Amino acid sequence: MTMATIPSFFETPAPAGLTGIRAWLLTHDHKRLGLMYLWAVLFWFAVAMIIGLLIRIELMTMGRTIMSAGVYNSAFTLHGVIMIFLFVIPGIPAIFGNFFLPIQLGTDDVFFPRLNLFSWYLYILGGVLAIVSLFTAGGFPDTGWTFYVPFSIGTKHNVPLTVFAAFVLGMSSMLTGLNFITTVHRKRAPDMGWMQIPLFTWSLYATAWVQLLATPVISITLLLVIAERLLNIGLFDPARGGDPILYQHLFWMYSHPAVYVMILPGMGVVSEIIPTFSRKAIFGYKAIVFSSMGIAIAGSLVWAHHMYTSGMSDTAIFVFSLLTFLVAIPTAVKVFSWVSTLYKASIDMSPPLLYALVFIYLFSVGGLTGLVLGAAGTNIHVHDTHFVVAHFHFTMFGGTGFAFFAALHYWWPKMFGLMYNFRRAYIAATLATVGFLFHYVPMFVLGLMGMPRRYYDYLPQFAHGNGLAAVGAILLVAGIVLMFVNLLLSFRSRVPAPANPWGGCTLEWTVPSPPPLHNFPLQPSIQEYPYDFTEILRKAPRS
Amino acid sequence: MNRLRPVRQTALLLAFLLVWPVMAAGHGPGGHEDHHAPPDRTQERAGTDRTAAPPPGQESKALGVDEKTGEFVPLDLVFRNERGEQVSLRQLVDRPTLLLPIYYRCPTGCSFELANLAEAIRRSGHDIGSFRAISLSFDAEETPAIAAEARPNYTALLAKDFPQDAWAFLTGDHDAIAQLTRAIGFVFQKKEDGTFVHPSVLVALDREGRIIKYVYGSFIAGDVDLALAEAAKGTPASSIRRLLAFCFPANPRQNQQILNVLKIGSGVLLVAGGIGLALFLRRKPSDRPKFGP
Repeated sequence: MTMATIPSFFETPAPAGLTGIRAWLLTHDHKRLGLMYLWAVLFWFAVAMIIGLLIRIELMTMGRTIMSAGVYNSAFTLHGVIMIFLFVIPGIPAIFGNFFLPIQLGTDDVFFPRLNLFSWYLYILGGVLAIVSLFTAGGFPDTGWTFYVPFSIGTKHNVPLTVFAAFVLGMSSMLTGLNFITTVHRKRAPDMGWMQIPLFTWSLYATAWVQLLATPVISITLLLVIAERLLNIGLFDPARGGDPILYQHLFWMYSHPAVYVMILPGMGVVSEIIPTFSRKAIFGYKAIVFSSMGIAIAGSLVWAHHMYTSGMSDTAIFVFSLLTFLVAIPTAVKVFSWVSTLYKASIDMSPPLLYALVFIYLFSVGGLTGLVLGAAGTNIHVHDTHFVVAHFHFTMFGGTGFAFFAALHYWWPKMFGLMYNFRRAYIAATLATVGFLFHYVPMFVLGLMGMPRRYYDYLPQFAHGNGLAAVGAILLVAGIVLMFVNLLLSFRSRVPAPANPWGGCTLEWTVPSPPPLHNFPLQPSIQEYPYDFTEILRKAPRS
Repeated sequence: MNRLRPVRQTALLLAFLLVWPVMAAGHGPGGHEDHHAPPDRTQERAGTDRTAAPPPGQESKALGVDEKTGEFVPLDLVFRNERGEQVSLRQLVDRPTLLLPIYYRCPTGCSFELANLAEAIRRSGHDIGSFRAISLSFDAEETPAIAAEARPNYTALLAKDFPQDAWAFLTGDHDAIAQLTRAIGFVFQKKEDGTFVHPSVLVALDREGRIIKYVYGSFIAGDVDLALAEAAKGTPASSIRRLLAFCFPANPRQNQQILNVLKIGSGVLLVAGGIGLALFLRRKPSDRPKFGP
């Protein structure tokens, strides 16, 4: 194969002539930027995971274990802000989207390569600002990741800087979204129609619209909070005639759609992995495409279900409750499509598939418990308890987090041209899943028993559940650490990966591992249907 | 191409950034007051004579809660319960106590807080006799009759055998209210229409009247349980924030001017965006750069 002789993007800096660290820091290459995001995102993930573990150790026993109430408040705020803004929101789109969206579209780069580099710097700047706010002007805010005013307006902590950091990060993800939309519209391979776009790219496209339309709302809101604090305008402060509920509307108008920004790319990853390892066309390609767009649209209309207890009118509560149930439909369409794809397929078990299956399971539990919270009647009983914490982690960690791990295992051979050890990967995935269940299932029970969230301490009746959760957390962290160690060890064992190790049929599997600078040495030929495995099965030795 | 040069763009942006906050600040509710300064408490006192007045010589406090965790409330203060009987705090605070400052004729959040407290008491893991709840009206115009009228609305949420004296619905005169609210750092404000803007907060006291903890907003049974456990131990603890930490009359007309600024701002942005889009779409297709490989 002549393709294999073409130097990979690691060996060809873009723009040409840059060497060493500059070849990375000034690059316009979407693949290098994807990897730069990878290391930055993993760094923040590790930091937030350690903070999360410390929170869990604090809750392991009653009373003060390792930190005071104040430190605990700052710890959960920091854990939430880093995980949400620096890991979950940018994770899959910024790393795998940047790396694979142009390749799946059969093109050489995103539409605005320089803007892409700029988004990376905004991401880094936002992260640095968040950390700076930790050490300046009275310490980190203890408002949780929602920065609720008027408390945010009254607190003496450093809210403006943290809020500004969130704003900068929102800007970064918005620019990435802009880049993806323009790339999908203007840079697809000439003979690729809309219904020939792979599902991962479709999910990124749907996500990008939400980012583009919703992020300005949070950006403006956060600017208003800063203006309110510094200039005392009177937008949200009831003492000055302002309306705190206005802030909550504005905040959730972004943050609820943002939940779909977090989950949609994860669903896209699973939609790639399931057909590849089922050796079978995905069930309901168009249904998945439209459900992605449906989630993006319906998800933008349900924000006020976070505010049932804030004194809205009954009509509003009824409407938002109904709309919330509607979101379950496109989500269920996806889950059923994945399961139907697996039905009667010749399934080839692999670490990415295992993570994807765990995703389906955990995410379904997260989604179903979401209905408990989405229904106004049941919400009243469990709001502000650990039930909410468990639901949130099932969807965001069990969902997006495990989809992220699946994507990491699926595309690692393509990104680095190296295979990892399967046995260790299976052990790590099992350990993480068992740990996950032991960690978060007790939280559902604790929530139903009435354990409130955001306390560093609890009453004796909650001791058993918290002890169990602590054991789960340790297993979970052990699994995740083993997973990363295994992936990193592939740099030492250096087992080369073939161009198509899994038998995938989207375009990234037609180029060498790792891909060359311009991705495709020749104009790629586009399959009529993106998940047509006929050719793959014909070449496969086993079939 | 008739695009604005970058320098002009930057200058326009800077001018906007400089002008907007000034405009916005000048358009606060009331319009003429200086909203950069904390609300002038002296004026309100003179006008309504009803707010928690700061002690003379001490700097005025903004609306909200100035936490006094660990300090004692004056137990000698005398209020009237819903039956019109005079009761001193000392008589009531003989066990861990939850104090909820509200006013009974509140059109918005207070009834929500009272119902919340009833629900929390019902679901609480503590024995009913082991603690006491006090709802205190900070409106000196309210009478025991009004408290008696409000009471069944909330006690109906509780078990039938709930003892009458476990939850006192207090009213009082101005001085007693001012002393108690000052002691817990609770600063509220009376509006011209007779309603109040006030923080929504539950205060846990131990049996000696020491302030143990503040729980803000829409507290749940678990919050109350933990607060009572801490009050039983008598160890002051850090406060807890929940959603909606203020109760205020919902009057959209009040912040009309701010909303107008927002409306005009978004209108200007939409028009500017529309013009930009029109200019962009007017370009001939042949002007567009060629893309793709």
